[in-house]
Amino acid sequence: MIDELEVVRALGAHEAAAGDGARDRVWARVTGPAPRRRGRVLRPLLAVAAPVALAVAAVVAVAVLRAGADHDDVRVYRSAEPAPAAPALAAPFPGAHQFLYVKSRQTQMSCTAVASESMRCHMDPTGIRESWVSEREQGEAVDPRADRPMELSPSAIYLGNRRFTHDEILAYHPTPPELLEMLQKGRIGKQGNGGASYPFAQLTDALREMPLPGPLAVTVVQTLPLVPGVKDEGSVTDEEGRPGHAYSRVVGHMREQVIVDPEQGTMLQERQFALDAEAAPGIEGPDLGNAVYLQRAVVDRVGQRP
Amino acid sequence: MGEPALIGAATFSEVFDRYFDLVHGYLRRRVGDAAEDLAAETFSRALAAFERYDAGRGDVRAWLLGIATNVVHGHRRAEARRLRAYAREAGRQVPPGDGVDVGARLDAGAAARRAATAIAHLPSGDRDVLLLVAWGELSYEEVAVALAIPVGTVRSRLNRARTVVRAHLEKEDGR
Repeated sequence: MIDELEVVRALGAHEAAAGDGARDRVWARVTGPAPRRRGRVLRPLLAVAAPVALAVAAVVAVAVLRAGADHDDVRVYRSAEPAPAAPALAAPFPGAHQFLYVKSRQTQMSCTAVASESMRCHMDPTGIRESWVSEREQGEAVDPRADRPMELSPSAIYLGNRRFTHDEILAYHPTPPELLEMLQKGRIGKQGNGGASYPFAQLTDALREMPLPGPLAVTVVQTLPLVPGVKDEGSVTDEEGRPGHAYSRVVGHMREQVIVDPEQGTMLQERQFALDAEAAPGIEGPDLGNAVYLQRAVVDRVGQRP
Repeated sequence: MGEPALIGAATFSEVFDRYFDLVHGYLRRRVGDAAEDLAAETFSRALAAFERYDAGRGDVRAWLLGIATNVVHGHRRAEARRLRAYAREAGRQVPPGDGVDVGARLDAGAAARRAATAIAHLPSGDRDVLLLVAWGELSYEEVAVALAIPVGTVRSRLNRARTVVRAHLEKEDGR
């Protein structure tokens, strides 16, 4: 009689050993490029320099997350290459009980009604927003417009109107046309005022602060130019000097632009511009909103920063 | 199994030294060539959480394999490729040792192919439990710590996974 567990144990048993140098390469990537010193020699160093080490690790961790996302279907980041110094923005995907941490710098418009059918708007000061979003756990957001941290309910994963479980989203691998078709067929009534470019809003919603597996996030980005009415603005750099690709659409009196990293499947920056004075009474100049996404990472609890 | 938990006064370096082979080996079996990248990601996450790790939560081995398992979740395609490779290579990997006849090698190859196919079709939660037991050599209690689920859930998932694998092993090879 076959013991199924023994058969499974035998699978791949011949290749379990690490290759030459793997241990040192991984160590270097985890702790930084310094020569490896281990054991007792490192113990006092670690005790004294723990905060520094953790800070380095945070930077490296982001780079490693980027590398991890690369490995599947995007770009291979070889371990022999030095970790990039500039902050990287991979699309890390947390476990169902973990949190996606997103840090952004935002300038948003606020409008208040001053009389019937009359509105005055102003731009809020620029501030840092941090959010911890989890599928199963209570999350939190620290927003410059709120005077205290805001509780966020467990966040279901949606693409358009379709809700996914954790496992479903991991197994969902549409092509960009298939994804667009799913969004368009899933629209209810006149959702998005019936505008053909509405999937642009659904796709950018998914890229903002929602957990998405890396390969699927890349597909979401690749779907943007397929949306009717979306303009491909070509290669640009964002406010942080990071290279990306810009797409935009016009809605009413406003133009919405996103700058994305097409290889990582991440949103780098999004901006809204007024096309005329009707867009936002009281606002001088075209800028109606601006958010720069500075950091994304998987963390284990609310308040934890990478 | 059986090594004492290492956190306490241990440095991260000592934890890395002791468990690198285990974590890398587990990842190698799950995602193949992506193992080195994912091992780096696993230990980076572990380092970030190291100072706050509560040794009372259980063996550090289970903690690390739990992180590694979560890391694998972002790399399902790599895992699927690895399992397809197992199915493809099955039979060729059975060593032609003394006393193993050709028929037995073919049987073992077919069993490995069916098992790999079955694992590929398991729900991810069931697959995680099965592979943490089979490849990570964790006990039920340790799997519960690794995945932050009740022991009863570990038992039911493992039972379900074994039933599926057994069913694949017992069916006729239709290839």
